[in-house]
Amino acid sequence: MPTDLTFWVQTFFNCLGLGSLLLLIAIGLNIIYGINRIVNLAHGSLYALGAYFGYTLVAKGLNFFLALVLAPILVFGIGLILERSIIARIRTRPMLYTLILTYGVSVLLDGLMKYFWGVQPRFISTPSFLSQTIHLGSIPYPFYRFFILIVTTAVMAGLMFLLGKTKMGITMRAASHIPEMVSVLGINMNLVQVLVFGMGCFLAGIGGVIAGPLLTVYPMMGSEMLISCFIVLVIGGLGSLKGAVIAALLVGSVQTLGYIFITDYAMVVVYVMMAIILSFMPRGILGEGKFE
Amino acid sequence: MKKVIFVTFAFFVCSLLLVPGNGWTQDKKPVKIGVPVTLSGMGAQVGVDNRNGIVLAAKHKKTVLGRPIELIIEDEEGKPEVGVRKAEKLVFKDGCIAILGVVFSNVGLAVAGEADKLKVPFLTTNVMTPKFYGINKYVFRCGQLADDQTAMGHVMGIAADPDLSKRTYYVLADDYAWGHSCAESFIDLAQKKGIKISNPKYDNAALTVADWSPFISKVSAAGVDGMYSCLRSPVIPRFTKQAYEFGLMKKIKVVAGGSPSEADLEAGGEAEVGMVTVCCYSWDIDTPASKQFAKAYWEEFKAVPPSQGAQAYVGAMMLFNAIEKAGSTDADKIANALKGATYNGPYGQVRISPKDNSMRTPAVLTETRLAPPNPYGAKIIKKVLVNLTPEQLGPPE
Repeated sequence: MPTDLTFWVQTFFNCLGLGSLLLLIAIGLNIIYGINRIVNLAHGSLYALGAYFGYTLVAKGLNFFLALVLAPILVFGIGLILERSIIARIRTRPMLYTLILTYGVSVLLDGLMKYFWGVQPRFISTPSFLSQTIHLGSIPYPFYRFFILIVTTAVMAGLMFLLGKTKMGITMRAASHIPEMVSVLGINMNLVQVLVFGMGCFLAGIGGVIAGPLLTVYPMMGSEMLISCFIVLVIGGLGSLKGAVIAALLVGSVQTLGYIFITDYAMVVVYVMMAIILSFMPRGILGEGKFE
Repeated sequence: MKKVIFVTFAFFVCSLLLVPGNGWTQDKKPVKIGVPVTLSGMGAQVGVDNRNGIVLAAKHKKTVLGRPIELIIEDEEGKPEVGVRKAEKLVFKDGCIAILGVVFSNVGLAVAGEADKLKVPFLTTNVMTPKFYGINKYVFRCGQLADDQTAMGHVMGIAADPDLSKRTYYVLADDYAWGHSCAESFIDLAQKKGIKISNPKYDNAALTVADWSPFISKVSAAGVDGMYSCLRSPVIPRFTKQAYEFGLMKKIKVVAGGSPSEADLEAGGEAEVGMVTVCCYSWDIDTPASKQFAKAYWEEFKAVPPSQGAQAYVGAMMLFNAIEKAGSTDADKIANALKGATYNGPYGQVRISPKDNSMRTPAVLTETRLAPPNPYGAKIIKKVLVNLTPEQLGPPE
């Protein structure tokens, strides 16, 4: 077992970094499930789409930070189109319909990305200060990984504020618990669901742009992350935001430590952990549907 | 009455001409070659490079046995079960007389396992596992080096370089058939030659790893100054870029067991500089045949001429020539013609050993550097350091 301080400090931040990246990508999926009760299997593809939009905007000369705003807006737009044209039509059908439909959408989006951008892996260029290696004392660490932590914290804080302090957020929370009551109060439940779906897509877009400079941008990048995101959601409790935070950090840490100490079985450990948690807490750590 | 007899006779003659197997129609029928390559998922770029090399070879060859060549390209998705399904479809449904391509070793082994059922020659242009040596009378490796050959090239390169030979190497491999054979081939040979290996039991990384930080910290903590990477081509830029940002690339020299594709190097950019790798082809090879291939590839696809593309080109040319030599599309005759076949292509004279159906080929030990101005717009070049002969790379026959 390595004993030097550099290794353990780096490992600590690696756990946080992977956890925050997983959270950033998974949170949109969670919101959509929390309010709309849709398991959106196209979420990974929307995340990849965000990465490709970000790549294209930056490659065309746009500032990275502007791309970080614009690309998610574009994914938000795509999300609205998908919701209105396809998903809204079967929203009231059993979940199996939306599962199959969103899987189909994901295959379609992956195909379109392959068609428009090809299969060559790409990276999103960042301003030089973001790709620097900083030193915590004598310990080197990539600044971009801290940037991911900052963005994830900002997104979560914004989300908490939206849900806790704004009228829209309160409506969303109410809608997640008793949608019929919200409708009776004269609130357009349909509009709430559309906006929530769009917001989930927006967050997927942010995740894509943030992941782009670190991981390769390629058409199937979404499916690579989707499984880990679902593990986070299931462990945290489907629809639970706070549960997702805890679960993301847990999965990020177990996965990181697993790769270090039992390399061959790292992912097995993650699944075993999920099985143990669910056997004692079948609705996840903070319980299913506690959208608050 | 005469008119009726004439029409009947004309109809009879036309019918005869159209009967399958008739000499006249058969002469016009294309020779169908099945090309299963990975066109989706992580390995898609290598698959595209392989496909392009084969397409270019077919374009240059134009005809075999006086008949046009028809390539039927299928996406094997880098999955063994899909590879087998696609190979069966190409042979039994489409009527292909040979299978050419396949990117990953696990897919190659699965398709090779069906060789007796398929009963057509199967030539892989990319599979590197040593398990392919003499696996079946219909199965050949044409174009690509095997892991033991690249390991030999790397060990020779390391031993010959004072800077590389004094380093200690950490071995990291993708957790699947090729990764294992790549790592084991190198460790076995390196230890015999006295090259220091930090982790002889090597690390296996799951194929789904996206964040490489745990491995980077682990390599750092091991205190090594070298790394032998058995990572798939598209994974390499992801690993090196992340390692670069951790400052690891300044401390260690990476020797890549599987040579990264040119497109993957371009994606990684500056972070890819300084990597040592053995490959059959680099557009830096300064011979007329190499330059001619690079020019033709660029004109056809407007992409940096890739090593995998050149390998696939060579493999395809060897198959086309073997069909001509066999004078037939009969599987056994083509397989016999492939044994001992030679071809002088972009990276020199190659030969398929009749002993084990695998290629003996020259190769080059290269180092990735920032490219000088070039017609392909490439940022990174695999700079040729040492030319390696087939006899040096083995295996002995």
